[in-house]
Amino acid sequence: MQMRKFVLSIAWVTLLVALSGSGTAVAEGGKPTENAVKSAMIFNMIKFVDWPAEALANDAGTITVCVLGKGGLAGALDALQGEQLKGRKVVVRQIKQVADTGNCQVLVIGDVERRIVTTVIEQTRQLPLLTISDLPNFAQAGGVVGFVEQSGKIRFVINLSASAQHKVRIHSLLLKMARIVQDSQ
Amino acid sequence: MNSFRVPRGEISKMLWQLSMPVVIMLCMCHTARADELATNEGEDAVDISSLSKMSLEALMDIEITSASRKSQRLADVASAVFVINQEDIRRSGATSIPDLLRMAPGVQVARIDSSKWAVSIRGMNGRFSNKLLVLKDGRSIYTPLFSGVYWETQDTPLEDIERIEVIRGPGAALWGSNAVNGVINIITKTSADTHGVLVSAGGGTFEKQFGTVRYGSKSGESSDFRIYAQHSGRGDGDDSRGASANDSWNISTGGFRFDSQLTSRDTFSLQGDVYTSAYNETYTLYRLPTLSDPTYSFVQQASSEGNGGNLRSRWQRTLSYTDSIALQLSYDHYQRRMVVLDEVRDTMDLDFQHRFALGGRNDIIWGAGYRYSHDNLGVTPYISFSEPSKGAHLMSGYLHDEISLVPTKLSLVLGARLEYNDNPDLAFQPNGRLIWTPLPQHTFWGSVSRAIRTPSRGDSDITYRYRTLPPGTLGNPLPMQLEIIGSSNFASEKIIAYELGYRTEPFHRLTCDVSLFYNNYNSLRVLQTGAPYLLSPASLSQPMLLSNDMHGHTYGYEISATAMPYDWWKLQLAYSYLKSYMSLDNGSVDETNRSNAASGSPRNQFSLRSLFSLGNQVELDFWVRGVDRVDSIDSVSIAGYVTTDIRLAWKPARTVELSLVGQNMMQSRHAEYIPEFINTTPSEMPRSIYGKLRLNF
Repeated sequence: MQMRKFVLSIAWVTLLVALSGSGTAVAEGGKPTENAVKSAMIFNMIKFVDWPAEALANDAGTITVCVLGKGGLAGALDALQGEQLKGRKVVVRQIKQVADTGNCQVLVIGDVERRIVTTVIEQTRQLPLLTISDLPNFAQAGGVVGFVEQSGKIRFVINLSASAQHKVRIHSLLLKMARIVQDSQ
Repeated sequence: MNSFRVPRGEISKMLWQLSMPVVIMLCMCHTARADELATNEGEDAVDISSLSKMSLEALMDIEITSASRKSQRLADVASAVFVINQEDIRRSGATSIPDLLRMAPGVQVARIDSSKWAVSIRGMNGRFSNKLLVLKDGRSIYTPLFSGVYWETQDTPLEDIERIEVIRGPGAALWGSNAVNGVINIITKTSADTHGVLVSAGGGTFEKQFGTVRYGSKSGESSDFRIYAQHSGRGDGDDSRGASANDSWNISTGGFRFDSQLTSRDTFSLQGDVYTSAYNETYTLYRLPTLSDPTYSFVQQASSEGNGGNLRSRWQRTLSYTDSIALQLSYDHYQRRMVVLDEVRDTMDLDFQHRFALGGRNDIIWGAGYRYSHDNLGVTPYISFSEPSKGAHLMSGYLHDEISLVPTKLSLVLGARLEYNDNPDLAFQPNGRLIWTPLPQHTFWGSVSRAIRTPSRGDSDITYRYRTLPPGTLGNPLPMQLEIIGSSNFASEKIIAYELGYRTEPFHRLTCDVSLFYNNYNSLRVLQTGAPYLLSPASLSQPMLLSNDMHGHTYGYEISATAMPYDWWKLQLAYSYLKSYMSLDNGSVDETNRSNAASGSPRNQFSLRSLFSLGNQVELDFWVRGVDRVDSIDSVSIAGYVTTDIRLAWKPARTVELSLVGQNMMQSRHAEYIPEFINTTPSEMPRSIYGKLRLNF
């Protein structure tokens, strides 16, 4: 009985301390959200990717990150809008369908239905695009960069066969940090 | 919750205990809303400008919180699913898989003694509960002997588990037979996630000593592996007077896992485990009196053994984002030596699955499986089988189509499994589900399904001499032995289940899940009294024949909610309500089994967890559980209880974690259950404490 009172008292005190505001109980310094880290990683990755000249010819001065689907990874990318990269300005654009990928250099696929992913991979295969998603098995299924979570940290998988088809060249520095998958011929 | 039935004097204490979860729930919603306003203004935007300046290497080193991700995926599922992830496992302080399941809504978990658990979903609990399908990495781990699970031998290192999916309601169409009341899917981490060395060791008053060593690494360019060894020595429970119940046990396990990305499209994995275990048990056994020993029963202290191992290989090819094929082959061997039974079993299982998109609207999964299980059952004075050694085949095929009626808004799932085994039944198990997502944060679903529980080896072939009655007990003129006798005519038990559910994420960090069910059962197992006959000139036998002579229904609901009002505080609530009605058919008078099915599970249950991440790498976690009274299990009732576990952990360095866990803190001991069918002495769970050190580098 004493024990129970003791336990409950501790529970109440902790609860009250917690509710009296975040100032009292020290927060863990606010871990960044998964999507924020992934966005920052996308921003950094672009530095290690070269597109064929014609892909950047149309609207010199910008790198366009197109976002398909809402929610998930898609939501956090707006923060990249207007940042400078490789002497170009980053433009983030929400698109509704694959046909709108015209001026995009990067295509980020957020939470969309599985069948849409297949369509996107098939229909953009010949375009000079860096495709990125955190949907499971994205790189294995023909995407260029897939995010995976490993023990609470973000890792990425790069499909070399896919990047070759998209004609985007990825620096070896970036490849070294990634897990590589490749079609065996 | 006020329908918990407790002695009158306990009510005020109970109210005091119950007020805490209510207050916490209220605060949960309040703070979640306040927090939402703050985060909406661009939580990601604040982070990102500084994050973008970091190098990729630094970004790859950041630990992230992934509170909502998994639940977002759950939004697409048209059934009642609850996921226990690694964070939940680590912070629960639980040391076994069944104890972890106590946090899931709709799951009944009761520890019978130190080494035995009764686990079920939506009722009909018991040590030999048989309406649950349990899979570990896609490999079914129920034994065809009684269609249940030996939980004590499921000794996977808890650190290696990625998540446990608990699916309430029939899952037979997709997962297979026995998924009558639910499916539990234990999924271990891929070996790419377990690089480095892990050493974890500790000990305490009830968890006497335990330790795990694991090593994992890359193996070549595109493969990874891990190996592990684990030992635990569990202490004695208490008897009803607080003395030791002499039911301690120990288990040693070792194993490996290898994963390889063969090509960009092909993955292969191979894993295996071996274990050896020993259990102290106390049996009450019955016999016919003799001149030299005229007693009818005796108590025997015994040590039982369980040894075994398994191997599983899986190959998967990704054809496109929507198309994949998988082939899985597994083998399992175990043997158990008990006073009442000797069992050796070998099981081989082959499973093929193909998933593909058809047209623009169909997501199809179809597959086929074959399983062969062979056993060798030793005869004891108590249990024997009509054929001591027997092999059984099971073939199955299934088709599952998710049809998108209105893209992203409305989907229809139609599926069925056809199963053929040595029993005469050709089992057809269809289901239909509808999932409606009018807004991304709101999901409604409903389903109708039919499932069966195939007859076990015990149902068809057992002879169990479970009791001897002195003359006159039932008007018998001579000593009378009661025998349970299996029947080759025993048919499958059947269920038709109706379910409705609603899932919502009203705010960024709050998810709620409500589900309702109505289950209609037929052909359930009970005993029919046969005609007594003369066993010898001085004794009688009363056969009790297994028959499908009970029907009934259950209904109830489950609520679960998870809130993360702040990054450093997570709350999780689960509440379950269950009501069962059973009726005997064809003149059966088996009131014991009827009331076990109708009243052997608690009507109300709750679990509330509060996880604090305080500063300086300190975690303080509370887990309060309340379980209603069990009205009747083998005619015994078990009082309800409320108890609390507390965990305090400190990470002085990235590689080191020290934790102190108090379990069942609210009372010096409490009873949770008694065993049905096999007469072992149950024990009560004592208040206990243990310390643990974990190194990971």
